[in-house]
Amino acid sequence: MRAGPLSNTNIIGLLNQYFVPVYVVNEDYARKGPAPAEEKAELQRIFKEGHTAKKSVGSVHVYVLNPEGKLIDSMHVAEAAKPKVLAAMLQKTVDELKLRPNAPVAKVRPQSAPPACDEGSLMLHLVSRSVDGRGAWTEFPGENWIVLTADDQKALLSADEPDPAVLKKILTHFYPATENNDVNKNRFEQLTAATKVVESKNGKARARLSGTFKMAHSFYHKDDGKAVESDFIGFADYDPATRKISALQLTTRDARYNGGKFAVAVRSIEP
Amino acid sequence: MKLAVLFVLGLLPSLLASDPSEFDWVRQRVEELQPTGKEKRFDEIGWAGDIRDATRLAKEHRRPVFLFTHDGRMNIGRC
Repeated sequence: MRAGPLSNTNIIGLLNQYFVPVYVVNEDYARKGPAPAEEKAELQRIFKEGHTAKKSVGSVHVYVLNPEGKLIDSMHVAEAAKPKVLAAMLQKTVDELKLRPNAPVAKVRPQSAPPACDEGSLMLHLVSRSVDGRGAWTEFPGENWIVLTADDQKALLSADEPDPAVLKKILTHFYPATENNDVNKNRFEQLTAATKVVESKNGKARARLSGTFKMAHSFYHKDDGKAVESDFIGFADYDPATRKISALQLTTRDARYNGGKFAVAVRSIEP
Repeated sequence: MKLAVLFVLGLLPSLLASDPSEFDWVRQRVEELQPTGKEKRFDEIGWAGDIRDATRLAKEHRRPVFLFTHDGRMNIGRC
């Protein structure tokens, strides 16, 4: 949907000018999901209205509610993913409700946003994308936000043996688009890393980080023996007195998964 | 497979020459891998925060709600 109709100029215009668009993540609305009970009840209410009206109802669907919140139309994603079909559905609602175009009512803003973090933390933004067009869902990259606490930064650049847990906190997101995005299931089978100070002057230092790793990561949620094999290289600028990192950039030269090649970029973002 | 971890910390920066071309290569590659505008068109839509926010705005502005329910994290491309 994101790479198809939700990137289509006509549909973006229809949604912004006539509708209040909203998307929800099913995992959040599951019984044990983090969505508030009132939100879960609202989604169940919409499903119930759909069943009562004998409309199409399912977990991966689009629904149209009238301004009073009553369900008036729905469609399975297999159909809604076709831009012409979805545009026709939206236009039908516009015509039936005799809607007039206007500006979006919700703020237009990046949908991948950094989480809140404590002062002194380092916010990292990660991008992972296919580089050979192989693999699944190559239309847009995957992203992650990673927070390194002040202690994490010290551990990464420690004069003693750096804590591999901090590196793993970053590297666990080094995988291409897969159905499985539960990094708790990832398992590091090998990790070799080196940290080398390459500059130090005027109270500022730069360290070069590099290494290789192998990480078991199943494509689906069931263990399938697939693994990421990758290197990484990057630089961290930091205060040698406090080991606080002011800037960090990491990337891959050769990252492979399931017969395809992908690449990862990590960089720190100013809060 | 046995986990092997090896870390080396260089403590003599004056003896270790920084390779500016390698630093520039990393910086450029990181830049090149960033999401493009075409890949971020989804961000051009004014999305409400949740269903209750959407229905509140719908009543206030007399607009219908478009609701998409899906698995995974579409907003970060991890779905």
